[in-house]
Amino acid sequence: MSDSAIVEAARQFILDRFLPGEAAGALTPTTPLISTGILDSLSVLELVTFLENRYSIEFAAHEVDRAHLDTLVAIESTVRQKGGRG
Amino acid sequence: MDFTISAEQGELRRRILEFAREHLHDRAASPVPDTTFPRDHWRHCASLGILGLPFPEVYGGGGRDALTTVMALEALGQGCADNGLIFAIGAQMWSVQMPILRFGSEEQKHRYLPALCCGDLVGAHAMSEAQSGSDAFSISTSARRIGQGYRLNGTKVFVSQAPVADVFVVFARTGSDPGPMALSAFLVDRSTPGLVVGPPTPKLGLRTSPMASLTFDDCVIPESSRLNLEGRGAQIFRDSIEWERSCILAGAVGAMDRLLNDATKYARERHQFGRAIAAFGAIAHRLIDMKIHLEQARLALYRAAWEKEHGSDGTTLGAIAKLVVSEAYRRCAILAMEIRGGYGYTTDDVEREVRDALGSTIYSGTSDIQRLVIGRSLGLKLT
Ligand SMILES: Cc1cc2nc3c(=O)[nH]c(=O)nc-3n(C[C@H](O)[C@H](O)[C@H](O)COP(=O)(O)OP(=O)(O)OC[C@H]3O[C@@H](n4cnc5c(N)ncnc54)[C@H](O)[C@@H]3O)c2cc1C
Repeated sequence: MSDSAIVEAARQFILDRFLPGEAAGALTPTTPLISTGILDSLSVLELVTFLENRYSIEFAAHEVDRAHLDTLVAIESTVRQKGGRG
Repeated sequence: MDFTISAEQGELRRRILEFAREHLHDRAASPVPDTTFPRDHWRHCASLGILGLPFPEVYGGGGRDALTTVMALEALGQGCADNGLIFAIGAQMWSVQMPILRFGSEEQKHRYLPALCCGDLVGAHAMSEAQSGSDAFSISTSARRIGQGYRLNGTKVFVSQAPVADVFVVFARTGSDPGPMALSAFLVDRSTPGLVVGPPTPKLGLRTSPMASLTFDDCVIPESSRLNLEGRGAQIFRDSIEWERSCILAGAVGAMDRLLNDATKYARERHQFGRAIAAFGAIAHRLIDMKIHLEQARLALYRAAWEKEHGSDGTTLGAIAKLVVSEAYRRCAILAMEIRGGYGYTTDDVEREVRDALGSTIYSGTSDIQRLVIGRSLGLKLT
């Protein structure tokens, strides 16, 4: 099964911006991002800005945390809950 | 990418250069130095549209693109030796007006931007604290919710233009967790009870850009003074510091041009050992190095401004511009001083130019911090 468009867009953004030179396969839909330090607090902010602009959604302050953003799968479900379409 | 100066850009530069040479003589360099904030010059620049250059016309701006704007500010720095004034103009444009434009409500934009662009209001940016400088997001100034507003407590330091500013962009902690969404930004008017501006902070250079600390002592502000959503402070800061790093040293590139011209003239006129000192290889090489620094700095500046408009990596190119221009500016000023021998060290103009230039590798993030930012874009995990 191929990954959804949202997973793919988030993966590409994270690879380009924070893991240049890394193979796409290094980032699976369930690779932990925040707890492993792939995303630090500044990168999380950039990711949120990217998702908000791309999907015309808004995050509340308390939603920017591990529960909502720690994996590509979690990112996708957060974006979908907010009405973003892949 | 095309950095050819168009007829329109050339005309704007010529106009600003002439204006600066004619009207913005530098009082700090006069025999009796006057280091007060030159409000008349500030207003004059504003009336020429300089503060509003890249801002939309509906908010009192000139609607220019980023590249045209830095080209124009470069001409201002070339014509005007009051580097403190030029720094103050840049600080307000990029760290006060830009966050209001990009994150403010329509009401906030209409209330503040036209007045800031036309020189009626002076704005300042308050992030740094005694324990939080490079590690900007570690600030401890707090904004606690109370009814329909917030109560601010804490102290900010290094606030440029605080002694004369009418409105402050203030960053404070609204959340208790250490996460990235714990900070918020506010627009605080000077007259707000509980806001105390400290005495002017003495400093090495840029003395016409006065600096002070700000203390908030149970300073109550309405919810409507918050810039954007609660928790957006770090994003607002990141966005505005990116503009600042990309553009704030535009005037410095003009200053380098001015320093090089003056130094070349001096080296041709000053004679030692029966010859103009420009004929000595050591002096010629200093002039040549100044030219190289100038052209590298100019390219880095234009490249970053172009990226803000057309590219997607403003963070990295802004950090590179900030680092390249400030380091080049410092070196140019010191080379200009050396070319003048003892006259460069005693209090003629160049001594002050050196003092003004030295701050540039510190404000808007030190060169060490720019390297961290550039390293991050390479995927290096640095702290
Ligand atoms: C002229 C001027 C105007 C200013 N205007 C304003 C203003 O209007 N508003 C405002 O909020 N602030 C302003 N500032 C403050 C400025 O932003 C800070 O001075 C700057 O961010 C550095 O912080 P600091 O002085 O606390 O130094 P520190 O952060 O304590 O740094 C000390 C030294 O450690 C180095 N260092 C720190 N962290 C690292 C790291 N991770 N890796 C490597 N080296 C590191 C630094 O490069 C520096 O050499 C101004 C400063 C100046 C000089």
